[in-house]
Amino acid sequence: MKNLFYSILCLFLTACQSEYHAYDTRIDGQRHIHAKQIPTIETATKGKSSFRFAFITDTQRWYDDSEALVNHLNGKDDIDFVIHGGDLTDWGLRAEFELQRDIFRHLKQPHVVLLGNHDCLVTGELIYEEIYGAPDFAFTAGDVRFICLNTNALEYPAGSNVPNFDFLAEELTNYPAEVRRTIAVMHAAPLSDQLSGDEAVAFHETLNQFPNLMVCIAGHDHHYKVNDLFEDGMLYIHGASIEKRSYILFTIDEDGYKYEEILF
Amino acid sequence: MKRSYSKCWVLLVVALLGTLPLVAQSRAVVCPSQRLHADYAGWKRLMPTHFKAQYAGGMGVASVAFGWDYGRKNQFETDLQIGYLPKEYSTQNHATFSLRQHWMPWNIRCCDRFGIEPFSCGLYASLITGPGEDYWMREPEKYEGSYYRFMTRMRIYLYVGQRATYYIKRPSSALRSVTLYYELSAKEVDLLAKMTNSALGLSDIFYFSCGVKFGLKL
Repeated sequence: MKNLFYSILCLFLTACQSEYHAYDTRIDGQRHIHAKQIPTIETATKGKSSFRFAFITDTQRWYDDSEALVNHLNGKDDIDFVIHGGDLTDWGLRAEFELQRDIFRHLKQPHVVLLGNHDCLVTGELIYEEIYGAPDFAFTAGDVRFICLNTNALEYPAGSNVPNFDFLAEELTNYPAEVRRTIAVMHAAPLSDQLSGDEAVAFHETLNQFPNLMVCIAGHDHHYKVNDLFEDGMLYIHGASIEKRSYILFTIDEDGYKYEEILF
Repeated sequence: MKRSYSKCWVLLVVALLGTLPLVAQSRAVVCPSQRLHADYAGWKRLMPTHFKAQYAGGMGVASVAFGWDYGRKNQFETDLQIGYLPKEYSTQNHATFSLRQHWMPWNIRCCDRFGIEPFSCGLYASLITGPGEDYWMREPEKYEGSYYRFMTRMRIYLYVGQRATYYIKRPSSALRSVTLYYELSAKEVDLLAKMTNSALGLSDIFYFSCGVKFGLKL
């Protein structure tokens, strides 16, 4: 009996995961996902003026629905890549990040994930950066520059550089010559609880400086909606949370873009 | 989404089933006095009856505890546990403070000096130190009431586990016994998620920890 117990104990020691704390930053498994996924997107769409992408968002806590979405998207052959609008997690816990990462790892299309306000809680941003990369990033698909931004200003102390205007200025300065159009993607749209007041207006005005800004895409509100937030003709298209079994399919072509809410 | 280490659940089931015949005979073979502190009397009843050191369990990399055995057959334990999470795994060094309640319904004597507790379970609440804007019991004012509707400073855990004890019979020893134990614990937010997501396996939400308990002789 004594030997049996020690054998079982040794097996448990080698077989099981342990947790130092709910908010520890000890990542198990895949890391630096954007460093691999972004070149895949750029290579696959290089030279194209038409392509399609799916915008999904706010998958926190809804693991069943997230798996159903991955199965649905894997049945599609006409989607070039997937953008997740943030809020992978409900409480910014490492385990939530890892569980969601391991679901979307099975997507056959390359994907990128933005930082949501729930993902910022406690050590969440550190975990996000380790698993995905910087919270402000950009990539080129075809002739479109996608500017992906952390807009969760409420989660940071006053005076923090969120949204990151320095990053926007740098992107404007170093805008790739072969690119002629821009799409901005964020978790929380300006004038939301996360990004309000003068900062929201300044953010919108900065986005409008990008060459041929086509549309702005956001999550956070958990409902599909399309708003002309600043009444200047620039649309902010919001995706629904995943438990509504909804995502937005964008089609980009020479003439512009089309969008459609898909229920699955 | 079941993780590769799901085999630990098979092992747990095997371990628990393996002890059932012993549990069935336990009335015949248990030596109840092994878990009693017969020499505790008067004010000494307030003295901690044991000391523990533990690895993981959501209370830091390592933690130490003191606590009390009680109940008709000392089948209950209450511990106060202090843990340490180094900044390598966070943004700064943290201390954790936990209140833990344990229940071990069976104690089976395997020989004169050895016994096992084939099933232990319990509940604990763990607080972590850290800046108030990150770790809160009540949401900061900037959220204007309640947005996230949970607390980041405290987590509540449920656990199941097993123990094996060596009883020290030497009269001169300061120790009554040495117990090795392991626990599989899940936090409340993961248990809630499990209730609404069939995609989550038990191995996705339960975490392994282990430790040693030193029974004190006063």
